[in-house]
This record gives sequence, structure tokens and C-alpha cells, in this order.
Amino acid sequence: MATLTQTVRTHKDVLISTAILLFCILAVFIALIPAGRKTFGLLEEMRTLRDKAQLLTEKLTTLEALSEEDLRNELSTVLSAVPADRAFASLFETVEGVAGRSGVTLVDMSISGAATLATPSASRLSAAEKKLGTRTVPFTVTINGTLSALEQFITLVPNVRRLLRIRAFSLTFPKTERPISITIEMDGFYEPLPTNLGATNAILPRLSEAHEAVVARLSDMPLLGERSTALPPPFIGKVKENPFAP
Amino acid sequence: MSLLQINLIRRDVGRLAGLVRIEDTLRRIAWVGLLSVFVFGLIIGAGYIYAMRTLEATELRAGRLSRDINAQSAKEGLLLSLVERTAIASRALESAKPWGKVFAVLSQVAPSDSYNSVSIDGSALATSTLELSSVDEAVVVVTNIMSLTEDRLLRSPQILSFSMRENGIIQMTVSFHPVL
Repeated sequence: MATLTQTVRTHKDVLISTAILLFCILAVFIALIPAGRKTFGLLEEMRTLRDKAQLLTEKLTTLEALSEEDLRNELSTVLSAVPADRAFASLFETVEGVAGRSGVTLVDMSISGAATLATPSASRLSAAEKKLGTRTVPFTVTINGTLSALEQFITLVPNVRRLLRIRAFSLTFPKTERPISITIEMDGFYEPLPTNLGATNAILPRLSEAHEAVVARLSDMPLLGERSTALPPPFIGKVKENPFAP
Repeated sequence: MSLLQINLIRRDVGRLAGLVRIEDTLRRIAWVGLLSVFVFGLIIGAGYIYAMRTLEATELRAGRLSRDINAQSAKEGLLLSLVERTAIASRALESAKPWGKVFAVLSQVAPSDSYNSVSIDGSALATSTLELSSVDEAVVVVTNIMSLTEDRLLRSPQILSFSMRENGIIQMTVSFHPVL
């Protein structure tokens, strides 16, 4: 015991220095390094969150700059050209309107294809529709009239709302003075509206100049059928957890 | 004599100078290390506190922004629908061919009273059946078709059939792709 005391007293400075060094080494490995990692992690998280907040700010600024009324009007115009469902009524009304304007007589109009009864969600996209990127309602129209009236009908069809496309047609020229008869295979376009808005921080789609030009072109096209497609509800995208809840 | 003795002799008598230097160096290193640990600890602590507070503030801000954006979900939905629908309308407009121009081409091939039938199929191939009163008229029709081909108003013309009846009436079927 006396030897120990004497040793400690003799080497007191060395022992204290060694103890301090040991404490420093332990402090570095147990405290400083983990704390440093944690702090760097927090700084990285802070940077990421700051970028996200910046994106959200830009998105909110863009949304606040838009007018809901203008968006509704433009969407209404485009929906009258390509509705969200088959809208057979507007299809018939548009063809009748074109026939009336061009002076031909509408003899027959029939919807072709197997998708007349299936809801859009049940119908599958054909290869042509996949290539086009939209669904179509094929139908056939038979009209009578003079050659100039038929020409006017065919010229007018791609230039009215709702948008229609002529796939094929055949003209028969009678030997007598009867009017010329033409059978036209046509397509009307439709596509269901999107039902998912995406995440809050999803990038906002932009309406480019090309899009604006299309909207302007559609606005200039005469609307011959009644606007039978209802505007989407004011709140799109939210799905009720219980669809049967009031 | 008590155990507690006062010894006035230097206690480091006999210790080597090298050992003394080592002790001094060790002492200096220990104090520098302690100071460094203290300083770095302060820096890291300050950085941690700053990061925590900034993170909390940014989370609050992001939460507020998310709530504001959710309040504008109607506009976002309208914009999303409008952009998607406009792209669809653009593709639909591009896919619709101006078939009205075919009539101008047909009238340049032959007079309208020469035609029995005209059909356009899904591949934009126009097939016309004509009834002509003489071979000369048939030659004129063929000449017109060649001329329109050179003018790039139609392409790939073909005479599918050519027949003459007893009364001299020519029945001719031609096909071509009109350039729209």
C-alpha cells in the first residue's frame, strides 16, 4: 500500500495526463463521432426538405396564379371536342348538324363495334387506339346529296366539335337523276378523365403554347351538338375511403 | 516517528531528463486533446441545435405549403385534365385527314358524270370505277392521272381493270393514293 501510494505520488502527472488522454479518446469515439454523423444527417435532411419546400412554393405560386374559371372554360371547350365518355347524343347531334349545314340528307347512322354497351372502364384499347393514345367510337353514316353537298359534308366533318375522323367512304353515282349516295366510316373520340391527382409534391403539368394553340383552334370550331358532357366536379381526384358513406 | 514525514529532498531526484521530457509532452498532448474535444464538442453541438431548429421550421413550412396546395386541388385537377385532354385533342386533330381535297383530285382525273363509284379505304387508297364513252376519253383519264402524279397530287396510280363493251363503252377501274 505504501509502495502504491509512493508510485502514485511519484508518477501523478503521468497518470493524470494518461487519464485525460483516455477520456479524450473515449469522448471522440463515443460522443463526437456519433454526434457528428447525426448532425451531418440532419443537415442533409434539412437540405432535402428545403428543396422540397421550394418545389412546393413554386407549385403553390403557379396554382395561385391560375384562374379556376378560365381553366373550367378551357376544359369545357376541350371536353366538348373529346368528351370523357362515348356521349352518343353529342355524336348524333354533331353528325346531324354537319348534315344540316352542308345540305345533305342523313339516311342512316349506326354505331359499329362491340363496345356499344360496355362502360369505358370495361373496354380495352385496340392497337390503333393505343397508337393514337385515345379511345374511339366507330360508326357508319349514309348520306344522300349532290356532289358538292357531299364534298362540303366531308370537308366540314374534321372541322367541327365534337372531333370526328373519317376512316373510309364509298360513293355511288346513280345513272338516274337521284342524289348521290355515300357511306362513310367514321370515328368519334373520347377518353375518361384522370382520377388520380398524384402526390402533393408531384410536379405540376404546364400548359404549353402548343396546348394553348389547340384550345384556341377548338374554340374556333363550331359546336354543332349540345354540350352534353358535364363539367367535372369541383374536386377531382379524392377517393372516399368508404364509397357508400354519405 | 510518524508515518507522515516531511521530506525536503526533491522527489524527482534520480529521474532521468528524458522521462521528464516525455512527461511534459504527454501533459501537453493531454491538455491539447481535452481542449480540442471541448471545442469540437461545442461546434458539433451548435451545429446539431441549428440543424434541429431549421429542420423543425422547414417541416412546419412544408406542412403549411402542403395544406395550401391541397386546398387548391380543384385547380390542380382542372389543370391536369386540361393538359391531358388537350394532348389527346391534338393527336385526334392530327389523325383526321382532309378528305375533302379528294374531290378536287377526282374532278381533275375525270368529269363527275364519268364515275360509277369511288371508294377510299382505311389505308387512304382511292379506287374509282369509271364508265367512259370512248378509248380517247380513257386516254385522257390516264393522261390526267399521270399529270397529277407528276404534280405530286397523287401517288402510286394503278389501272386495276380495263374493259370495252360491245357498244364501245369503256369500263375502267383505277386506284391511287391522293396526297392530302
